[in-house]
Amino acid sequence: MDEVDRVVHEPARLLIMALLSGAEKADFLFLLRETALTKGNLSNHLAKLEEAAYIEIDKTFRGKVPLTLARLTPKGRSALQIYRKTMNGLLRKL
Amino acid sequence: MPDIDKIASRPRVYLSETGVPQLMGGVIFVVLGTTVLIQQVLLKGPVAQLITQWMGIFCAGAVLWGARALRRRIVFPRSGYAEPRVTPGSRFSFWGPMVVTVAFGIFAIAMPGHFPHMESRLIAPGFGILFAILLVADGWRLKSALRMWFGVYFIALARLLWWMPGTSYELMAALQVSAGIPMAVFGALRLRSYLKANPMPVELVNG
Repeated sequence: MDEVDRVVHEPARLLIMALLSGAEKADFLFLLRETALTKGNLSNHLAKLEEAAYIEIDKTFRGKVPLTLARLTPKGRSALQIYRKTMNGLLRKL
Repeated sequence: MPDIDKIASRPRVYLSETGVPQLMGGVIFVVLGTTVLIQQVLLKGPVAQLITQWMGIFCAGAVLWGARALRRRIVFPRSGYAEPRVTPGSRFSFWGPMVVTVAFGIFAIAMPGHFPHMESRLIAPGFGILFAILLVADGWRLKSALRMWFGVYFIALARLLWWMPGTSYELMAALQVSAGIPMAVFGALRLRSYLKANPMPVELVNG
């Protein structure tokens, strides 16, 4: 299990990355609804993914409403692909 | 391990669940079909026909703009914003038919008389049958009874168009209107139930 990326392996973060892999960008509310995480939990996971440079977060405003947009970086996309390959390889061995 | 491909399809599925694409597509079909019917049946002067044509294009543009505004002002504040990823496959499936249609149109205008079969009354029923096959096959693949019934509706429509009087253009317009109305109604009902199920949040939850 040494080869598995721990940042991606956590279920909530894997879910966030999988959702973002199908989107150019998505906002906090969409991720909150789709992941069913709490706001604090989602913020923490997003911060960890941003720290690993797997996602980019853009904090802006739409009118007077704060808007947090997240997008998967090329590094994040490749990390997700590598994770899938690794996990599929491991599952095949079992 | 979760099904990552299924999760990755959520942004696209989410937009479809709101009913806006079906509503928009249906209304555009109805607008364009009605424009052609007005041109062919009611108006005979070239200027009046040209004005109607541009009015139709303008209305279709207005519908696109309206759908965008609907999403931004009503749908996204309730359930979040997501922009589905444009893959090379989806780009091709959008631009491919567009390029073929435009090229066909330019060729037809530049070299009139080269498409005698465009006048054939078989075109509209043929398209009806083609859509029916595509919808039934898609419904079978996705296990969607609604899609399959929509396919059956197209078979009935093709049969009806076969018996209807009119030129091929009028029949194609009738096909567009007949396909657009149920699509728009379905989209409107879906949007209505979606908005009921997702009330506007009192507290703004956006990061």
